[in-house]
Amino acid sequence: MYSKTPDIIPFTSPFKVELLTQAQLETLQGGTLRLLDEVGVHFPSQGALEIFADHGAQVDWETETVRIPPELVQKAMSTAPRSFVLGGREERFDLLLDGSCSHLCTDGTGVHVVDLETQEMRASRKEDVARMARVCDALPLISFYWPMVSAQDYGRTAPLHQCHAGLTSTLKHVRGGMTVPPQLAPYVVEMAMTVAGSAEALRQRPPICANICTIAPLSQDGHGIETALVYAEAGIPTSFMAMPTMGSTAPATPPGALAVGDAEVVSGMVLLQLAYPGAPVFHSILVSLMEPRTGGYVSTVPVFWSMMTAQLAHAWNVPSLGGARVSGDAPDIGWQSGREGGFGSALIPLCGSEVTGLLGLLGSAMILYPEQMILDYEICQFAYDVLHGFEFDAADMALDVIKGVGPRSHFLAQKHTRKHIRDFRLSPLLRQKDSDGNLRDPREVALEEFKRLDEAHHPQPLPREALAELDRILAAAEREAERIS
Amino acid sequence: MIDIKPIRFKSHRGVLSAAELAAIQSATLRVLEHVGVCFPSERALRVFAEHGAQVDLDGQIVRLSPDLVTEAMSLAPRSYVLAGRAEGTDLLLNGTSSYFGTDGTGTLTADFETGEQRHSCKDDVAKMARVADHLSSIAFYWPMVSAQDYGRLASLHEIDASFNNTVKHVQTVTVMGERMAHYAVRMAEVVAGDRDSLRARPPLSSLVCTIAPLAQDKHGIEGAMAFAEAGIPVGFMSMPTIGSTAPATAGGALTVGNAELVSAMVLMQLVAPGAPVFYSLCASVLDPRTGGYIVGIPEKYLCNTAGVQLAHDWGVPTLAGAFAMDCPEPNTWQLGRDSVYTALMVAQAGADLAEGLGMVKASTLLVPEQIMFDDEIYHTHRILAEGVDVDADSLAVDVIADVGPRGHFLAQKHTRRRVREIWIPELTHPRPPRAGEPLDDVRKRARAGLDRILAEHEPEPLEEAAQAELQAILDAAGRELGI
Repeated sequence: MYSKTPDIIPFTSPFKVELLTQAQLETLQGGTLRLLDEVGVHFPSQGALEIFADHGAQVDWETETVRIPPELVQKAMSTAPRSFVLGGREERFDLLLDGSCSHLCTDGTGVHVVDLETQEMRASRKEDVARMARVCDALPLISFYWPMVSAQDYGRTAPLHQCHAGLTSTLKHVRGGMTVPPQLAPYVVEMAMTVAGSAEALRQRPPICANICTIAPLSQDGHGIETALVYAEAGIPTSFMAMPTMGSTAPATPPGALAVGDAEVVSGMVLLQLAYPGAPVFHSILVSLMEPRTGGYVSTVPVFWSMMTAQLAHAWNVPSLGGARVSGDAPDIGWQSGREGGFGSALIPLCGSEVTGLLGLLGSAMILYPEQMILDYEICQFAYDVLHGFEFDAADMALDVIKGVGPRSHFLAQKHTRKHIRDFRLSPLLRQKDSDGNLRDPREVALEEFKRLDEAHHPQPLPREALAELDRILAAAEREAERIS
Repeated sequence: MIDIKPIRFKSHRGVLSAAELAAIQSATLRVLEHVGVCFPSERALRVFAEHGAQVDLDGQIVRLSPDLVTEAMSLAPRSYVLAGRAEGTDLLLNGTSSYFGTDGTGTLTADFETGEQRHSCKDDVAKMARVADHLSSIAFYWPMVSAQDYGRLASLHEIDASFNNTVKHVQTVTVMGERMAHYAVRMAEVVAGDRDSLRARPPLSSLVCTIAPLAQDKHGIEGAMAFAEAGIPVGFMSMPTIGSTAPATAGGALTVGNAELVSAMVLMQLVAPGAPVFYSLCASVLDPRTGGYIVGIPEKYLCNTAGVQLAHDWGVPTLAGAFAMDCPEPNTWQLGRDSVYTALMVAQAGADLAEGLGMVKASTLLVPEQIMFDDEIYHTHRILAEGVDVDADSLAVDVIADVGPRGHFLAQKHTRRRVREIWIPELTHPRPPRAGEPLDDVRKRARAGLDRILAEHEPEPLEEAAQAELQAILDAAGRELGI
């Protein structure tokens, strides 16, 4: 027996905001083109350098730096698809990234977990990845599972085990590809192919996508880039994620940080288009600030990054991943996490990123408190209710009812009230009372709800043969990891 | 120098379409014409009758024709000044800036020393006025709690404590009745200097609540008429509760609230044509399980934002409800979450004024440090609203070129110059403690910030003669009212 996975609910919003003017966007893109042309990006990969050289980019073999002329950037980017599908186990979990709606994703990849049983903080494990995937499988607003923590109990093959835990624990799309030693990347592709059914099915409805982090400023990771080429060859959609930090790895101004991040992301996308024209790619920039007094990392700076990065992605005519971020810097659950989640969620409907939200982690994406997912989810449900706006018709004004009641009376006894008063969604976490009538802490209610889902929700497993095949692939990957170490 | 930092969104965004707005306005006109509003005041009924409204003297119900409504409303000014008593404290309400103020008026205070909850007093009003005077998020001051140690004269003592402890504009929400309003007008005159200055740059405004559904309070409306005649801006706040005092639909609640507010503003224009008025609609929802009052719910935010649009459609400034959540405790996840929404939405819709910083438990309990939490959320909104400039220095292509791939920006002059322009939320990202010292939790840090203000900030005092005159007015009020 297994639990049915509810249909996913995307965010559609009448409130999308275009913060940057066309002229500002062109200035930003102009900055990116200049940086790519005049400064270049470091690509420590022989393969990548050869692809660039073959297509007429200016390659400095010694410094491994590539300068890409604007025409080549434009030509390569013109083959990147504006819209494509991220597949789920069933078609009802497929996400068409075409700008018509936003899909919420989990945040990743933390390293600390507050244990569900002991409440002590410990290193994250594969079972945490699987448990969070199962719980998110039950939450309809979540469409896209990014393994939330690292499978640290698996050492060098941790990323493959995260992918495995995701694919076996949820029917939703999994961000299963990440930077691994390039020799291990084919095993990730094989796992995806096993779940999809065939190489062709993998291309049509890829059950995983990949994320490759760039290195600010203006650099790529050698393994990351070579892994991305393996994924792209198989048709696995790949996002490049730049994480410039204003003041240390990027200029201390928002447009400067965007320019650095954009140049990194675009250089990666250009490479994939040159190697595999038409490869599905998406654009992702998460900007942070170096705290000038401590050198610390501040991810919640009040700038409308989400809107600007989404606009930039769409200006390059590719989907956007990231933007609004419900997770924040708060080290624990409290006012700060509520505040940060409140801000992040309010931006979801405004930014129009295809994949967004990044729910469920604390401490700048380092710490997983299981109940935080339920709290963040509630915040997003709230944002969904608020920012869908009014569904308004003339009957809503209830003129006859008002007339019937008249001045100085009340509406408690009206049929109209009985009919409509339950239309409003009341939070299941707030205003709950214990047996003595005292208000309960929402956090405690959230933990209870998490435990309930953890116990009750067991999504349909993969077919037995597929599970066995995945195990064989993992075992082979382990042997390969052993060999290359 | 007083620093008031309003929120300025470059473009505004509401929740009602033009057609939806028109539908509510037309429904409101129908309610005003056919159902009417209760005005339990002989004077108000007389004024309405004199201007051709249909008055039912027995039921004290006034029905207003659409022509009378639109004609009267056309006299209300869209733009005017709420004045402070120091340079840089005047608030021009013209739709370009959202000015925020404190929340009020509670009856309980978590004692400044012991933290125990007790009845609020005049000294609380004074202390929080000093804090408000310091914070750049606060543009005007509502006495946050009731001066219950002064009984029936509480409202005047709240004004006295406010005028004496902040140079910012003061808005009373508790002065009721014509006689009390006259004393308040005299106090405002003392601060303004004379009657003409009071009209030109009123240091006091007043807010009066209507009673849902479709009724006015006798003392509230009679006080409002006295204020309007003296040139003191008067706002009306409707607080329909969806499901009990309003229909169980957002559209119905907006219609009921809108009708109450418009009927009161029409009366002001009939009494004192051109009187500065403002509009305030704050909805809530009945909890069908308990009969309780719910503030932190999406429909409230939507209705409050719609209220901003309705006010501007009538061509008057608005006071929007923001912050002021129903959570009973500061520093909780719920409060952090809830506080974000209202302020963001009403400022984005272009609210001229918004109240609400500093209280918990649905505006009934003053926890002194709460205002520090709200202040931080406020500034986050403010900076978000400013957006970014994409100029050459910001884009910094030359700096990036100098640093090149795999370098860092720590040693760049550009970094030194620009990194400190970035506002860092102090409460959530505190300075590290000295070596070996623990970092206090966020609530203690908020409290320490508040205590620093109380210890160090001394607002510019009123002239001694003015202080004495205010006291003389309070004494006279006590004598004349037999208190």
